[in-house]
Amino acid sequence: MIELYAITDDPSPPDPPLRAVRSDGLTALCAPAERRQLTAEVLWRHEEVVEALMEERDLLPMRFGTLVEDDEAAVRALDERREELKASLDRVRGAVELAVRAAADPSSDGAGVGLSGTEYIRAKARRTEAAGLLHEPLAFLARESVVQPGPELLRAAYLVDRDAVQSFVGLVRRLQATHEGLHILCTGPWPPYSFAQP
Amino acid sequence: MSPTRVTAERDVALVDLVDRLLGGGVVIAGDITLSVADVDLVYVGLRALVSSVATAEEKGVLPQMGDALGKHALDSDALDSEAFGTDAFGDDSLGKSAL
Repeated sequence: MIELYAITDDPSPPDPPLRAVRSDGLTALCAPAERRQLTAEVLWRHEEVVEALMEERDLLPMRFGTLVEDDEAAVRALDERREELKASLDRVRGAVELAVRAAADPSSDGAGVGLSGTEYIRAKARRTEAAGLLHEPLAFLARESVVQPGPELLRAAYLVDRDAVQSFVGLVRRLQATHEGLHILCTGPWPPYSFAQP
Repeated sequence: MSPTRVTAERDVALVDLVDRLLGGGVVIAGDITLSVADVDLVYVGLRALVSSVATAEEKGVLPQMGDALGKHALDSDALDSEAFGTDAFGDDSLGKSAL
């Protein structure tokens, strides 16, 4: 079994033990599959591998745990989705993904217990509005964005041009400074996991 | 996420990591052999989920945030709730030499 890490149309070879399985302009970057437990450390190591690949080329990250039988199966995986993969690669070319989560500061007003129903609804409305006020300017700076389900006020992914990452982070900092009742977390740059599917 | 980032930052970013590696990426239907019943399951055991770019420690909000968000974590017998705790770090068969 081999594990697929990413798909690219860049011809440069990866560093061992990764290798390239090619088919007509598309390349699956893969390595021998290993038996392992699902731990945070395993996920981080996988991520480090994909990030190292991402530094050198545009790519589509595979979902973690994508194993195929052999090189032939990898080639089939490329061929069966050729047009879709090429379109997705064009979509993410020159960009990385940034993750943003925003949660209400529990010490800010309205977050505590003992609120009346009306107070609670008002506090919630204020925060919902605040989440929208965060997402809008961030999405404007991004090539694409997607709001994802989560317990926070805002959980979203942004596809950002590589040379716009610093501007994006600067905007996050400014938004944090102007929204004291919220805590904003921005992580990345990530491979474009949230934009890898059509 | 740079490999040089410290563990505390990784703890905070773990939700983003899990979202992406297990919920995003290119999917080849039928070929995923790693069984993950529900992405939410791996949230079990997380403590510090949300921080602020203006350093959450400074404002002292991390424990409260972790507790608040912990209520959303699903419990399950299918996954060891300690699997994502710090105890599990390094307890795997994919050694550094493998990659």
